Amino acid sequence: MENVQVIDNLILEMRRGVIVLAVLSQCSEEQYGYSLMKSLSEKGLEIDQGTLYPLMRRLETQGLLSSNWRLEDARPRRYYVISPEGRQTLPRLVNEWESMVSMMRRLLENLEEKNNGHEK
Amino acid sequence: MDTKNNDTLVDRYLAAVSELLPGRQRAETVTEIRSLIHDALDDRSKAEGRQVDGEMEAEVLKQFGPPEKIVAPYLPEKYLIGPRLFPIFIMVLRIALPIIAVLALVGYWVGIHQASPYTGTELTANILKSLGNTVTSLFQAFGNIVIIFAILQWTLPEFKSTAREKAWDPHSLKAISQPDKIKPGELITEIFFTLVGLIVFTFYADKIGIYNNFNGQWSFTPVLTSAFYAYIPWLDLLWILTIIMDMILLRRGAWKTSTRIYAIALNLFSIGITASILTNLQYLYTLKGALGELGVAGILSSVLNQVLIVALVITIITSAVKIIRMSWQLIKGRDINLMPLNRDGS
Repeated sequence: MENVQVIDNLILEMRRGVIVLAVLSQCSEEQYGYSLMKSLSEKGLEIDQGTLYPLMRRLETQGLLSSNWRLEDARPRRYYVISPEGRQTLPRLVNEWESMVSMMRRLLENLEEKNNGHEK
Repeated sequence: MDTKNNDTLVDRYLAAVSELLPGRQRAETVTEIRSLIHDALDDRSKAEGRQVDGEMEAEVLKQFGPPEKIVAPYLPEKYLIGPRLFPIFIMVLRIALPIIAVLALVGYWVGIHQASPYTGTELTANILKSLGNTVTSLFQAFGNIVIIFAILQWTLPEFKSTAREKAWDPHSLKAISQPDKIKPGELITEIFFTLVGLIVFTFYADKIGIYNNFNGQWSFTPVLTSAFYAYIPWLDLLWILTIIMDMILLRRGAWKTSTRIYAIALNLFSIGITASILTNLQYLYTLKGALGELGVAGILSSVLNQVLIVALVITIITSAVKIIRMSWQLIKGRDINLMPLNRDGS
């Protein structure tokens, strides 16, 4: 029987690995937390609010995002945008991501071949 | 639920969040979370085509989760004793607590013994009291060790660990210990000295004393009292049993369960005799007449007494450590025996 909890955790861990890249890729224009979460969700990446907002703060501390508070409809909102340092970092992360994808594809092709062999 | 107050669920939620945050990041984080909650409420209000109300607030807050959950990622992970220090902390506890327990027990036991004679009830009450005091001492020691490690955790710079990790060399790894293997050299040395002690104290105890040469005339003053002679049969028994154990070990070439149990019993016996000697130390020897006034009331007598007390306490601690080690090997040995040594289960 499948251990649903274990599988859910494994999927969560895999997703965590891509969140930084996903967030940086969507912050070329100013985004506030909720709008970014909606934007990612619409593109298929569901991120828990408790994960996304502290991550944006962390990326700002690391100098990859910058933020400013703005008053809209009498309510303060914090807008985040990729910083110059973030712009320099993003292509390197994208390259790394692409090489990981191709590496994983090779590994999984190998797995598929073995599975096909067993089925025959 | 009380809904008459003007504060909304969001206000209460943010108040709870605020209490969990450290002062320096409280205001900014609360403002940010407030903004995020209102964004979520606006979105839901538009999607459902109705005004924000208490019910909607509850639904959105349910999505955000309890205040502890939303706050947790904003806070750095903090440890009283972190994962780097924890193994050392456990090691120190394993060494320190048994020693403190033995010292406390012996100390209280000596205190009870040296006081005036007790009735049976008083003795039982004192023994129970000493056990209680020992437990208190252990808790105090545990607390002190925790505090020391917590201070180390806060004050030791992280780079020290990193530098140590960089300098680490696999060749510095300790060889795997072989607890069952005996060391013949140590056993032979122990047999030799035990035999010497046995012969000297059994046959020549009356020759142990201070030899003086005054004007070419030798004089001798024995230092052991008749009270000490009462211990000699017990010491003989202990030493004979020790020699027998060492010879068995030399013959077998390794520690077995039976020899470990034998060694535990022998060390318990040794602790009993040593503690009894420690208790009655003042009656077991005398320097009277040996060194004049200096020997009787001078500094030398006091110093010798202190040295003997320290030596006896060290003997008790050493025996206690041996008992703990032997017991641990017995327990561990059972676990190992349950596992097949080779792939074929042999």
